[in-house]
Amino acid sequence: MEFTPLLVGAAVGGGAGLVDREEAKLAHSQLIYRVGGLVASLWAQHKGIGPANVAPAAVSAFAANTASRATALFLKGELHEFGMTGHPPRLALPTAAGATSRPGLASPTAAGDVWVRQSRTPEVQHLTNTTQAGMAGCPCGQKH
Amino acid sequence: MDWKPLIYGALVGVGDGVVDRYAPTTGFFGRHRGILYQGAAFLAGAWGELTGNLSPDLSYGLMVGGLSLAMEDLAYGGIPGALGATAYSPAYPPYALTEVVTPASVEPPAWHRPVYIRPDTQPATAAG
Repeated sequence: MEFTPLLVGAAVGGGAGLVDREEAKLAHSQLIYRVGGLVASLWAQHKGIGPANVAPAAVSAFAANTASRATALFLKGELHEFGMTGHPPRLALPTAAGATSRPGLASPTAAGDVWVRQSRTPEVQHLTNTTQAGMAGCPCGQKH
Repeated sequence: MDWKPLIYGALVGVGDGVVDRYAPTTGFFGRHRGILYQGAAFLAGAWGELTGNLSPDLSYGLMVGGLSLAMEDLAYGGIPGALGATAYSPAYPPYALTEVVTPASVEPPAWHRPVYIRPDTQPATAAG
């Protein structure tokens, strides 16, 4: 068994995860990394650049990562978010803290419930609802 | 041009996306459905490679695809991410709560990746 293709696949996937973590710093970084990497690896395979088993492994890895994200978003009607979101909605699962999943999947809603937006940038919490801000105070230090 | 690496890798990825969308999200298999699928793909490829029952292209396509997807989750969310932890978990530093809004209606706002939180479990700063 050759381990070089596995190392290439792991590196490509690890890079995709790291790009997602840093996604806020570069718009469409997912699109650039995944689709760009796929095109580049296909080109390398076509031209025979590098060791024989490296480019095909990179093609498989980029194809898997690109297809996974695109498929998940497409099936949820959010393909337009490809290249913009931080990570597949797989991570938006029911949690021990009580949060439920994305709307439309398993979230019974009721008037008065609270929706929380998650940002890809770890900024201070910011209350946009004036009633809540007035009652609890906004952690950004300003009154709204 | 050999298209098999592309096709096999894409098949693994499409399957991962389908599992992400349609597989149950509760219970042991639901919580860990990502790594279970990825591990199954990898093991199937390894089995095919070791026994010779699958073509080398398909074997490595399965192994590389499964391993790559697992590494993506690992790089993003660490061990909890690879094992299927949640976005709201503190284990995901890239995701921080930045806005809390009580909607006027029961319809969810058109945000990216909103997460619904029940009033009794919302963060202390939003509890009012």
